[in-house]
Amino acid sequence: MDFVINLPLFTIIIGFVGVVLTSFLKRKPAKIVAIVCQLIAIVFGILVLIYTLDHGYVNYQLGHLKAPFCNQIRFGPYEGLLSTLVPLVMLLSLFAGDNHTHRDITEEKEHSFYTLLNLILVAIVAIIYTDDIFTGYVFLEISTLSSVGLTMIKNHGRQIAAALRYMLFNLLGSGLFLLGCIIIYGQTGYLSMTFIQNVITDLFNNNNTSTLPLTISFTLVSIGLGIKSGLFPFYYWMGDTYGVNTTTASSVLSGLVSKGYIILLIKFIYRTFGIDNVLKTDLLNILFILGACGMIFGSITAIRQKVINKMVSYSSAAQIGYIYLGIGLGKVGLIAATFHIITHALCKPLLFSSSNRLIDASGKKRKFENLIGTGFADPIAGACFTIGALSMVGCPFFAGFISKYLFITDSFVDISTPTLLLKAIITIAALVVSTLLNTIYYLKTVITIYSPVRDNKVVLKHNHYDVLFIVSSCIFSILIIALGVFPSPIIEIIEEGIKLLG
Amino acid sequence: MEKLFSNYMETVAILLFAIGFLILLFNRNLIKKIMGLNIMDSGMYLLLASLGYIDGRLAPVGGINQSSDPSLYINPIPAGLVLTGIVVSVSVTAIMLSLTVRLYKRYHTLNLDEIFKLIHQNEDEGN
Repeated sequence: MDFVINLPLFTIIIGFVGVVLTSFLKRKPAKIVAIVCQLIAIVFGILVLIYTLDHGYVNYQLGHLKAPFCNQIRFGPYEGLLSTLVPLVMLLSLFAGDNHTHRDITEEKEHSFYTLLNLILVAIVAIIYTDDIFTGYVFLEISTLSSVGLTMIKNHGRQIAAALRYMLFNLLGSGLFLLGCIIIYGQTGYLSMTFIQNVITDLFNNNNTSTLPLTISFTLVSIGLGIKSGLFPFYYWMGDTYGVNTTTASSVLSGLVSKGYIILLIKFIYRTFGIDNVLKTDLLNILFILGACGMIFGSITAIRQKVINKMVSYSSAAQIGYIYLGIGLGKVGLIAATFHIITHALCKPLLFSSSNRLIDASGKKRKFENLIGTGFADPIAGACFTIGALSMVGCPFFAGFISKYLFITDSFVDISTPTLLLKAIITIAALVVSTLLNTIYYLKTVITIYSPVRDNKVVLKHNHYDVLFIVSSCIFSILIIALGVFPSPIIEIIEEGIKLLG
Repeated sequence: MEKLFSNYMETVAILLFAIGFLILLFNRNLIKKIMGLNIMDSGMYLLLASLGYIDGRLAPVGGINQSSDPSLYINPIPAGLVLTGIVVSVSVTAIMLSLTVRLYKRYHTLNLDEIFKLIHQNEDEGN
């Protein structure tokens, strides 16, 4: 079984080989290569997860020198779980949006689409596994560049402008993130997360040295990654970036890419800074407040949308807010945050793929008033949208309910100080308000798509049956319901992973 | 104040970063935004390079300096990081420029606000 420790590196290398191959293959072979890479990544992720659940954390060193003189990969159950989730969601999104990919992207460009998907897969998996802050930065940029490519793949004027705006936000975020990393390197002299954490702990325990530069670097890294992942108030690019894209691209960008940045932030807080040191600053409180604001304002922005895709896009801002709220609650909240990362990664592709099918059924009209009755014209898409919406709202027996339940119980685990009590109260208040707002816009949509058509002039188009969409959306739905009914195995893995993380 | 002058490299680097960051954030002209991006990156690379520089030591290049004594040389790691960073910023600049060219060909302006105004106009007409 010991060969398993090589698999994280192999995942990255095989991904890169896939990137090279897809870039000069034709449409069909390129797609097969991308699917094979994702399948391999899923199998390797599962093997890594099983191995690390038995053996604990593994430090894997690249090259003959020992860390900190070499680049190191460090992984445990937490990384194993996430690196299984990412290719799984990507593969299912690829199948769910396959029909739209053929329709929206010209044939000679389609192989580039798979190249970009593979690049994103490699970048996120590398971000999950790496133990080196500069490697983290490089893959962060790879992920940004490939996401921009994915945003503009349809080559409409609006999409190019959306890609540009997305890129500008990302560049601001990357700049701040890199500056933070440079200050950390200047203060500690290391690039390896493990060694940085030791030095930072010493600096915080030594009363004679100033910890101001480190606090600044914590803030810079958090704001940088916050901007990139769409934390309040930096989420206004979401509508155009996710809302006017082809199905698979929207699903991957909102379900996975933004999560990649959050995972890197979690790694920075727990592996680089050390949670005990971060708790000595106010960083988590700030993230908590911004997360709570994101939950409410993201939902309000979503309610104001007149187009279904944009509403689903802005609901991501609210969900990202939930995750930051969980991170802001500290180690207990991280369980809820991670569970919500998984929930959102499963729900968003389902919502995007089904809403795009509903738009097809309405004759490619995207506004709500044109969607009346589309749930009957495409019953499977309607049912899938309803499942995704119910999960996002937090209905019992769906994954979203469990993550909301975890947020509430986790916030009340420790209320020994007034700050923690206040945080718990704010968590409940924000959850209640956000859930109400979620209910308004998701249930409004569900009611719209299942309303009978009264206007005789409206002609709904019956979509032809797309087997890939049906299979992948069924798998998404089953996973969402399974997580809602039997969440304990995943929660146990997350708990075990977080125990070994910091 | 004295600290600012004695650490002039860091001061200049942070100033450059701030100038670039503000241009990238607030200027509406796309080409100027890209210039701001490059100024911001230069500031960061200056900061990174100044971290590894030790006054009076040699460049860590084998072949020219024959000695293998590490105390003679400056820290080479930041230089390596700067090189990696430059590669990243070159590719980012290239993509930004290509996006700008495409937008200019379509909308005949470099002002981001005007581009979005035109997009909204086109959309309203389309509906």
